[in-house]
Amino acid sequence: MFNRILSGTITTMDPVAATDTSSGIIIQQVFDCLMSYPNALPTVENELAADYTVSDDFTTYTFQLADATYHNGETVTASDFIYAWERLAASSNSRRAYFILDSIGVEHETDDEGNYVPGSLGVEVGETETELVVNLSEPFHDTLEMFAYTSFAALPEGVLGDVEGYDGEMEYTEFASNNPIGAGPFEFAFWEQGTAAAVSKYDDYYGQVAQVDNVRWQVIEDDTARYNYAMNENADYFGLPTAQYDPGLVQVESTDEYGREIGKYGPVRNGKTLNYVGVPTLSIFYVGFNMEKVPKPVRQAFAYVLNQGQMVSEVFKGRGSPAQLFTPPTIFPGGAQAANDLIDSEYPYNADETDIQAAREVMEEAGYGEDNQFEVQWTQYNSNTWEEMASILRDQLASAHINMQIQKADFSTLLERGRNGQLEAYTLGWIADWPAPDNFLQLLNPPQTDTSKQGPISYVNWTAENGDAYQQATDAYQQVVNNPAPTDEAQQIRDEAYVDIETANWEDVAMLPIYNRKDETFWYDTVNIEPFGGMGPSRQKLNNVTLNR
Amino acid sequence: MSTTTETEIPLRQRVAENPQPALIWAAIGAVLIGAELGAILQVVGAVAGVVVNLIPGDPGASAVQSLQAAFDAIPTLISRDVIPNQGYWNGTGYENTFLGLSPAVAWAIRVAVVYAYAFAVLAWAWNGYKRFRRHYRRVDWTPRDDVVNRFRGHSWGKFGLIIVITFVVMAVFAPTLGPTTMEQNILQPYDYEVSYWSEDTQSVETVLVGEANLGSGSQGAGDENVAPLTYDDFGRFHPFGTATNGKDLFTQVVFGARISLTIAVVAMGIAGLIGLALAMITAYYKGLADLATVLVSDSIQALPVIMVLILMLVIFQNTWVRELYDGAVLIILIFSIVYWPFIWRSIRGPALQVSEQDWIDAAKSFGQTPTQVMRKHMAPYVFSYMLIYASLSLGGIIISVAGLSYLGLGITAPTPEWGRLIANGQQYVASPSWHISLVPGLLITLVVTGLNAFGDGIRDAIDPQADTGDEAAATGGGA
Amino acid sequence: MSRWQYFLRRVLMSIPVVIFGTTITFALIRLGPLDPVSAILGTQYNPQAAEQIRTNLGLNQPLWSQYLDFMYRLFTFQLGQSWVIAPGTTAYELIEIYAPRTIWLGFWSVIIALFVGIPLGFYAGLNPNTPSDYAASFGGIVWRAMPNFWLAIMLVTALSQLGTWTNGLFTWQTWIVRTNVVTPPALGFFQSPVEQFLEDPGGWTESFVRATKQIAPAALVLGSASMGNEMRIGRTAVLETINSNYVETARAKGVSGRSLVWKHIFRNALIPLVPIITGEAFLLLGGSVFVETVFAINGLGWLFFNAAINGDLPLIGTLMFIFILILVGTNILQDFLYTIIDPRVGYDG
Repeated sequence: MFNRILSGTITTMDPVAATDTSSGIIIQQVFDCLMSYPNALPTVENELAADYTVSDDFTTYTFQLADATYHNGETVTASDFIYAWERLAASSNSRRAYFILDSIGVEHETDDEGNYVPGSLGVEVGETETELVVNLSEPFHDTLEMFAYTSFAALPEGVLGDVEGYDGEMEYTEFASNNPIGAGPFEFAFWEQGTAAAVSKYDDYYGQVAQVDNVRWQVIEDDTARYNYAMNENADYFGLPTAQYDPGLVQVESTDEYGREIGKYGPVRNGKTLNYVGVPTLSIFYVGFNMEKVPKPVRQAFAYVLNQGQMVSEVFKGRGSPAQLFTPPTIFPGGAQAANDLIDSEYPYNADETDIQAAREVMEEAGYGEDNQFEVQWTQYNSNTWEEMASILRDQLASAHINMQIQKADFSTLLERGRNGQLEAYTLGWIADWPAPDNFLQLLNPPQTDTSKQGPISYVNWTAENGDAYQQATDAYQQVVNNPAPTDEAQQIRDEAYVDIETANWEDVAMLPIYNRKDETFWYDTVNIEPFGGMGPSRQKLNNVTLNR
Repeated sequence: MSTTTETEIPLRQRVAENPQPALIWAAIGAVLIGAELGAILQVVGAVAGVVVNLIPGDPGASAVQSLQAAFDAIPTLISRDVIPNQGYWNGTGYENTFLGLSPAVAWAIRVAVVYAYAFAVLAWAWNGYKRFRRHYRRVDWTPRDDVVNRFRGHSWGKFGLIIVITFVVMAVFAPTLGPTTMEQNILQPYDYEVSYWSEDTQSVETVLVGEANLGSGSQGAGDENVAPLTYDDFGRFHPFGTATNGKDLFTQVVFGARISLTIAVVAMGIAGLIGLALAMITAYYKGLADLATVLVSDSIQALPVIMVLILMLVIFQNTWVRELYDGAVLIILIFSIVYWPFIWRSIRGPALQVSEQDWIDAAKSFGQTPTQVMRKHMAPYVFSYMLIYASLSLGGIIISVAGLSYLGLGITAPTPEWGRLIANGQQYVASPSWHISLVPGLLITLVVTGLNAFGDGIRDAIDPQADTGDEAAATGGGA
Repeated sequence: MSRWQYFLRRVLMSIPVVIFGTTITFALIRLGPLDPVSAILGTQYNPQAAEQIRTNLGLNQPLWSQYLDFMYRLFTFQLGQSWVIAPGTTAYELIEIYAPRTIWLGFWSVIIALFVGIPLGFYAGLNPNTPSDYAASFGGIVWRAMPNFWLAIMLVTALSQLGTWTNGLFTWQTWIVRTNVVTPPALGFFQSPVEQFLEDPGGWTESFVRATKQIAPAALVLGSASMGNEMRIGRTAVLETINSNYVETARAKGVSGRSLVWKHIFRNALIPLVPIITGEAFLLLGGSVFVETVFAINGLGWLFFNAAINGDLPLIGTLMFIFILILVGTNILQDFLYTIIDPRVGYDG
């Protein structure tokens, strides 16, 4: 048995309903998709798709399915995908309908109110029953990457009755909590709410049959409890809470072409030396400003005082890299080098320096002073580390005529307040759905940040009144939207637009990037596991893991 | 209970007849108070500041600020300026410290002086009471003397009293006790600089306090730790070490004492007022008023207290009430709402008893209004019962507040709070930075033990036959 | 009024109390600023879905009708389902999973507190004003004054570190049976315990011992407040009884020391302990939030805390209702015990 820990509770086993990492980790083992990220490296490979072709206009994808079976013995067919994706688009349980309808833009019809018309997806069975044809309304450059998302996983046709035309072979809760059936390398074994879950190997798996019999995850939310559990060797493979992490114990032996640092960590409390891998994941953590409520000088003061490098080393103990750009450097047009060059030549504030003097000047120019402080409310997720960061910023801003109040909120409250335009300064993170800059920069597309409209993606309310670079950002994002095809030419145009959005954001400080997280995992010698890649450890399938005991 | 017999000759006249003891006492008092006049006015200024802060829109904030500045300018005996400890090593000796002593010794002297002063004032006040009893009081004996004497013979209660006094002094003199100030170290660290002796350059360097803090955090691993009673890299002395963010733990602890005490006393005060008022009303009118109150209080008491506190804090998390005094006002309100039924319960019996007494009927027949009857003839009698209950419950509130802050629902930064300190240090308990969690936890234990002991003493003094049943009400580590 | 009439009156009185308490809960969760729809939708908010959910959940109804519905469902034990932390799971299922751990924890914290606190208190009471009395009394008071969450943190650390401190001579994890310091105990052996025991007595006993060992540190912490109380009451009660007339009389009649202690002193000293023991229900429910969090036991307290911070309103309402029932039930039990054992209780109000 391969023992692991989850730091958050599992909510569901339904691939279209899961939005949290913990559920995703288990769903990843039980369900297979058309494509996958091998060991979570950011290049997709075939999974249930044995082969595929794309039409010249990039709007029709034809997949040949592998000869695979579900855990209940049924064969995987194209009609299963049509069913599964119909659930994704239409089921009331689906939380990711926009993936298929908007992000990829699979052909579909909408009614007068703009709602999806059930059964109208442009997905059909091809010449054989294992040929799947997908029609997009327009080209999209990361279609295959999106199909690797577990929301698009195959499940036996008709197993659930939550879309029109199916009665459902089992109750929804039965499927979502006791008996999920997929075509992945592991069968679901058990899940006890808030406690633990386990999967066991599926012997008839069409790919590499799992080498371990079982994988078990213990759910422990408390950092210290989790650390004790790991130190008592109850888990083979785990992460370390930042508090217990000592950067001085990391010995990196090699760094590969993906930037993954592989080595040892230790000795830890119990005397053992652990195996270590640290990977910069495609993520950005940032401070967002509701630009209607926080005037530009205040935002610039934030940018002046924020020393990303110091935050990363002091608060996150070096578990990440400081970021001035919203796009992670590995997927930035031209790569990390181009990103650094841009920062060196054009970043308008002081990268990696706390410049209180400049912040004070910009505030005083705008008429603020000792007796006329600007009051800003900072809202963040309930986390000790982030609170530590917030209080450092608070201290620094206190010397620049800004009185910052720290508020903590649970995730749902935070987002709700964001949508209602009630936040002032807030922190959130974004982790790649697909590895391309537009996945990140959509958050900086001004029209989509308007909280008075329906469903804003971010909550900064960027308008021409509160930002000089509003037009630049809007136009640039329109360029991205107008050139979605996976061709070099369109890529070129998109790349230029990405840089424009980044510099517009620098000018107006809609969002202040802080850092790209580095995910680190540690394991005892009891397991052999490949290092995971930039899509994060939750995307790694575990069928290649072996145990030494 | 009767004070009327003493009013036949006014106190002033009695003093005039034999002025010597009073004069000596007053002279000592003038010296003691004079030495700290500035500080007393500063407290007045601080209270005014808090009050202004509570009013939305902060009217008159600048007036209060100038007042505070004026008060700050008055020299006092026990001030940071008289016994400074924030000096630095210049290569050959200490500069800017008291008598050129090391910062640690200078700080220790200041703490000793503060406590010596505080206990001197208390001794003076006690002496005043004794002088009054001996020289000026008309009667030789009042029931209150027995209470006082019983308490004097109660060594467990006296032990509690000493701890409580130590705690209160800590809260009152917080700005003076810390090795650094709230303003410099915690609120505006980027406005101040600290000078220190740099080994690298062999000269005195300066650095922003904020930067120095970041370089002296206690984060368990490796060299990132500033233990209790040590100096950090910037020559600053930390009696309790530093917190994870490098801020001085002792300073946070003493200011944490302030907020704990404020919340506990104010919440208990409000709950006590509600409970007392309701007890008067229900005892006076009985019948339906009593039944309705029984119903409401039973219902509130049937709710699990901690759960209700958590729920209410979550519900009001993003409202304007939450922002007042970093959440303290909300907590006070919630505790008052949850605790009044307990107080009302504990004094309902005595209140009913007293309402049956003849003198109440007599007062009514003299045409006194219900309010007068309640205030003058009933309230004083049950007040001592309320005092017993309140003193036994204070510790429980302190623990609960710490518990809620531990869960991330209580007082928010930058106001220091003991429970939050424990939470911040929790992950480092097994590391060299164990002090962050351990020290506040030990202090809570000590203070709660002291409060309970003091409460026991008061109970035994006021009501030696007290029913042991109300022990259940006494504080436990419920959180 | 006879005692049983008095008892009946107490029971009847508890009905409006439960109704009123539940009403307060409704007022808190529905009139407060928490928005259940946003909590449910999380990141995937869109107005149509929100409207849909609002209708499905009956949030468009007038408030009084929501209130009647809320009360009706709870009082007919239709406990509803979780909306946020385990969407689609019924409250019954959740309680079935989480409650046994809290009950197991509560059971042991009562037992440990009783079996350590009362004997210590009686011992102290029988040897008043000796050094051992002072040591026991002072220890009990300090133990009681420690915040649960802090004590739990210290204990977890100590137990995890024992191996390192003793150079591997003693590790808590391997002592008697292998267990973890934290995480919930496996309580599967309680499902049809008799058959399981008959089938495999050794295995069953091992599971029992393991589950007990695993809960013991948490129970020790959770029982700390009650233990201190019980000790003090036990001591005072023994002292009072010893000095009372009838014991003097019995002593004068030449009743032997041992039988005096057992027959007269203990029985009477137990009476004031009743409210302390039943009062533990309050301490246990409240303390469980903290202790379960630190020990990662994931019981009802933990579930409530998570439901609260995630805005899972129906689950909060249901759990509150159950807590109220438990507490009111304990109060009735206390009155019942009084009615049976203590003839001195006044029945006039």
